[in-house]
Amino acid sequence: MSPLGQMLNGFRPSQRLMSEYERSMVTTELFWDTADLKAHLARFFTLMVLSTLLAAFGLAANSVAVIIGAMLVAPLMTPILATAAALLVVDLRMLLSSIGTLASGVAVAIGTSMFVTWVGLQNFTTTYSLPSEILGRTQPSLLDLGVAIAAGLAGGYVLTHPKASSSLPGVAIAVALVPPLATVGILLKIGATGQAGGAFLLFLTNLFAIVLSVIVVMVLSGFIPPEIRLEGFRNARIGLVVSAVVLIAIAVPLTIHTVGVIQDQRFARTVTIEVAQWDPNATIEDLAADLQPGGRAVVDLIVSTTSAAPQPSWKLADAVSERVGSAVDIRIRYRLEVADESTSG
Amino acid sequence: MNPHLAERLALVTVALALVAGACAANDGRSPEVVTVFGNQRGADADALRSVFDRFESETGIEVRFTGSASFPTAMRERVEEGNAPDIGFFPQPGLLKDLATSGYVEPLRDDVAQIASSSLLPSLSDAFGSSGDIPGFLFQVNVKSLVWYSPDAFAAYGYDVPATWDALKDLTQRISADGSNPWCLGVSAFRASGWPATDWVEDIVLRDSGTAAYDSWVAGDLAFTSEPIGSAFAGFGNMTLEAGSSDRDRRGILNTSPAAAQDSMFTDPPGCFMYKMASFQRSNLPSGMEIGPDGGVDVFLLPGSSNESAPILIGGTVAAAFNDSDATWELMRFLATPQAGTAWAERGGFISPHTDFDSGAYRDDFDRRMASLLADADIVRFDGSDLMYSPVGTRSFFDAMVLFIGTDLREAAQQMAEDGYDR
Repeated sequence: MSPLGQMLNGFRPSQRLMSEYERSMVTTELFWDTADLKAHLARFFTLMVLSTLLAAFGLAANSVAVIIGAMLVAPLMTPILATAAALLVVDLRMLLSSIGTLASGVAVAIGTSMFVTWVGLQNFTTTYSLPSEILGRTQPSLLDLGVAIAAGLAGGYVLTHPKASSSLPGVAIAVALVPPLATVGILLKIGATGQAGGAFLLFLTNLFAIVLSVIVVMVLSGFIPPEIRLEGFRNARIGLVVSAVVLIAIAVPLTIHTVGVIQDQRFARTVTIEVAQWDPNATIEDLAADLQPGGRAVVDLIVSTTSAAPQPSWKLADAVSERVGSAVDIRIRYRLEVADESTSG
Repeated sequence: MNPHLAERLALVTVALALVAGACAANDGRSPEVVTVFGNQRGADADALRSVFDRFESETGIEVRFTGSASFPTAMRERVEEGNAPDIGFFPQPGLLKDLATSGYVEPLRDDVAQIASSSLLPSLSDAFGSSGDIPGFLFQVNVKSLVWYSPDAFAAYGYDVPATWDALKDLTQRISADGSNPWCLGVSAFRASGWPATDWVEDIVLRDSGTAAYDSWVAGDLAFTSEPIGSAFAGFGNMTLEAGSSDRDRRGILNTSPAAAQDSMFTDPPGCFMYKMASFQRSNLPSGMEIGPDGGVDVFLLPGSSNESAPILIGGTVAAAFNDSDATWELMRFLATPQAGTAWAERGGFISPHTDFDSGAYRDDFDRRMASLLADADIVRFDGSDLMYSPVGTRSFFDAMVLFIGTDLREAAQQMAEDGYDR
């Protein structure tokens, strides 16, 4: 049998069943003993705070390397996987404790990053002064959902196939959980609640996509014990249905947003073409094009021009409005490029 | 064949052919389009759009509106390039007059002039003073001689709304003596920087020297270098530019926009107590702020020089045609009627110049109050700078105020404004 065939075979729940030993390996990893709970929680919250600190500073410094470091340190993957596993083995106590750990981890992350912003990032006062790494996390799209689902599948696979565990850091990087939370904290502190909501949506997207994917992989890997399997995967189904419903609910705003981004890009291209015809001497330095709901288009443009008498904005507004068939508000800032050279002596 | 019958048949054939031809011509053509160019943007442009929507649904004629912040420059360029819109919406009747002198404007058709003037508020009949015939009609007006203030701040500091010019001067001095700044002021507006100060000078000329001098000055007969205008410049300077009169120094005034100048009125303690600004300032108020004696902000009419009713300076939009097509005149006829403005009035920020405008259409009490202020006024004049020869009214007068605010060189500023006349 080909390696691919073997793998597919391994995924078939009817043929593969985890041994009791394998299952206990997984649950020991995920479900914390009451005896060690204190130590586990102390480790969890320490890592949570440290990872958020790294994320907040990395975001503020606009440093991808530091942000990835934060992702590697982040301990959130354990309670997420535990939540999925607890659902499947019908362990209500573990389910509640995993969800509780998860929720308090989220609160600690947001609180820590608000604190960091208050103490150390006082130059962040408006959304205009924010680095691109922060702004990029405020507008999740369907792409992010795709990444989260794929990474969740990988996470579930690694968990149920311990030999693959060296891949876990890759999973953690793909579905970053702490950087979006740190972004939420920073934005809340400076009062940008709308954008904080966007970052939190990104976190929720990652969270539920992982839970759903992990449940799928665990079911396929035969993680569910035989006595529970006889009950017809009832709990697995509940878990699957709940996370699927939540994911669909999340997919709606993500789809709307993605469609909006694509429309804005298309609109920006239209504006670019019209600018070239409007004033051949003008070079676009910066262009923000936004098609708003209700059919209004807003264009903010910076052009540099070599002409001392640049074309007026109303001509461009007319041309763009004609092309897109809706009202257009255009603001142009002109940057006059004049060169003067001399030699003496 | 009976020759009469042949004749008749021929006539019928010709008639049928004409009808068919007309149908074919109509079928092949897109609906007629009338282009309108003005200075409205954003929410005002939307409000205007709702006026045109009503016209479009009644007539099937399409209206394409463009509004530009640099209307005076852009309109002149369009007309001179032979690219004039069908209709211009002029905040500067002076510019319209200049273009008419050069023969670019279609004279108002009699029926349109008749509709517009038949219901014009009597108080507005002399608004253009002696500036001669303007080939357009007022579509919308705003009240300029207003002072915005915070009733709460006035109550807290024990100040009363002044009823006379002397009382206003006393209040200004009293607020200064109390260690506060009486006036808010900001004149930064790109190419139109200085305009709020021109309103000050105009209001003072109207109050101190009367309508005859005002009209003669606006018409270009009384020079900027004359004594009445010089004393109005000085009056404006004494009231607002002396140290401690405004919450900003001269440089600050030049760098603050008229929309933002009011902001320090709403701080605690207030950075300034009074802001002389037109009724359209309402769109720049902090969101949710109510206007009225019990609201966060209210207005009083800039007092007259004596106890008699104060003269009112207005701004507004004058519509004029640059195309003689029937569709253009159909839109002009519609805009001249009192009902045309209701769609805008329902959205707020519109004051009608007509007597039989339905005051129930106004969105709120503030707009209704402005309308009745205008209706009851004895003396109303259009904003002088907007009415003047446009190289003066939209350029040298503005520049002169910037010079005066920046340097206090009053006579040089007067001369600078006067130099806008190429005489």
